[in-house]
Amino acid sequence: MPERRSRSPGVSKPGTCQDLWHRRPEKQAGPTGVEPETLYLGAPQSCHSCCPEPAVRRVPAAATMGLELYLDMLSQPCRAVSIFAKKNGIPFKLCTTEVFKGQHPSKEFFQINSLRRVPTLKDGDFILTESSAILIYLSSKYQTADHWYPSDLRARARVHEYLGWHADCIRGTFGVPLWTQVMAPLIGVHVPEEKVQRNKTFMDLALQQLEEKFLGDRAFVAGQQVSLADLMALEELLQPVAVGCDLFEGRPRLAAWRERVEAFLGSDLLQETRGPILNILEQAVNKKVPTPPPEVHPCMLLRISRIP
Amino acid sequence: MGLELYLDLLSQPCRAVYIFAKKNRIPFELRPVNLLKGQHLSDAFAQVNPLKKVPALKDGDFTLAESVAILLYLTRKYKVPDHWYPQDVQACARVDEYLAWQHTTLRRSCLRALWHKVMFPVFLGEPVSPEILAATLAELDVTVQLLEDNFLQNKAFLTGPHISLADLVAITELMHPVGAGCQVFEGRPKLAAWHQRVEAAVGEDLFREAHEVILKAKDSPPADPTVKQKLMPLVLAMIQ
Repeated sequence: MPERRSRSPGVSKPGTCQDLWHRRPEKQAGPTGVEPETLYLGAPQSCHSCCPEPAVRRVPAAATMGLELYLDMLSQPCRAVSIFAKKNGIPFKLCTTEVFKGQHPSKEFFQINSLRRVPTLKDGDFILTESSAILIYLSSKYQTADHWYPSDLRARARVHEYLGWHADCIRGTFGVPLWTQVMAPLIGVHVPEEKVQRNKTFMDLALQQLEEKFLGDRAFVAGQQVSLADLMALEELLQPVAVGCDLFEGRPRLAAWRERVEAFLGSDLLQETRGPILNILEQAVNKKVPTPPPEVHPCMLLRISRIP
Repeated sequence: MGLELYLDLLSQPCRAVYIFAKKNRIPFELRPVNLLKGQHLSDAFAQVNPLKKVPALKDGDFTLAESVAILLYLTRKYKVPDHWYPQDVQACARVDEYLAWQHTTLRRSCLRALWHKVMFPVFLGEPVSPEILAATLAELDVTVQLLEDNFLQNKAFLTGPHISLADLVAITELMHPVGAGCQVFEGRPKLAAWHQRVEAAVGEDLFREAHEVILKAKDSPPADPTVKQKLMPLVLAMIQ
């Protein structure tokens, strides 16, 4: 665990400090029965002028052990990991990490200065990034039902075949509408219409390949049962849907697949996970999305510049 | 008909599959697919891989695309030594982590470096502006540094003390800009040492054989105009 630094006492009332480290955790019993203590994360900074109490954050002993997942629900791969863990009753501490507010898992974890710090898994001293690696790790460690990551040689190969193609053709592409419609404007950047159209073309092509090659006449993208592949795919496809691009319109096979996956996962779980992304457009329209702090701008600009 | 591997050694992931199969003495029929002649666009090849890419595998009636899927399939089917893809859940996760990361980072930068520096001007006869080339090479520099800082660090190999699929995939990727004349190992002694170790672990002869084609990329004859027309949109999509 990162070392907690103590800071000098100050003058504010406890619990009112704006310093992220001093906020009281909201305790809620989660569906897994474990209290997911929401940790607010940020670079530890000394709090010179606030807080009469020492700023060492006391965390219940139980919470210092066990699985931690650093997730930002605006992120597609984070949602896939969250849904998977909750659906399978895997106990974990949710460390909500709002990337666009400048939050990130401790700097001690990473040297990369990028937006790609979520999802991150921390299991004792073991730290793991990359959503597909995390999903596979969780499925192995917690021995989840075989269909998620089948042990059959060919069935498993189909999951990996999908994940490989997904990394090239889905990831990066389906996130673009959120960037062009919400995130770029937040920092005053306008993405040219030409790029928006090009992105639509790439999405159309990818959806065609998804339908024809991966789904075909099967119930799910890598076989006849739900797997990690379906989770990854669905949350990516949901991203543009959340900002008003109805990808499923005119694609009945894909729409039917979506219904099957969502029926399997359960609407409560999905609503809980998708709250933030489904509200983002409305919040943006009402100018209620906080402006990302300056330190996040370089990464955001880099990401925007990579939109083809 | 036994295992068939559809490969063009011009392609980074094909080299990884080739080396892996040969190193582990996996019996296979090599089915060459010449990318620069557009053979991956044929109807016959589409029967093997409707995504029209290499590498592709055919094992009896089972066809499989995507290099990572192919490497893992071969690993499991032919029960290769554990170090390639360890049974240990955490060690395995490290390999999975690299194999996931590399798609949009190192693989992409290496591919762009080759195409912007060599293949566009030499093969396609399309000049690339100095600004674009400079940006591509700068991006390559950043991702190679990330490889060193976040994966290799002070270890012998990317994911631990032994060579794994991660190293094979990484080294074959880095040979792309090497083939284009970029000195990726210069000024990076740790990475250079790792390169030597990987080559030694794979076997120098096999390594050389797998990389003959890419090292001659700058001598590619110009594309036939009909082929160029077919390839251009795909190349542009590939390097986005």
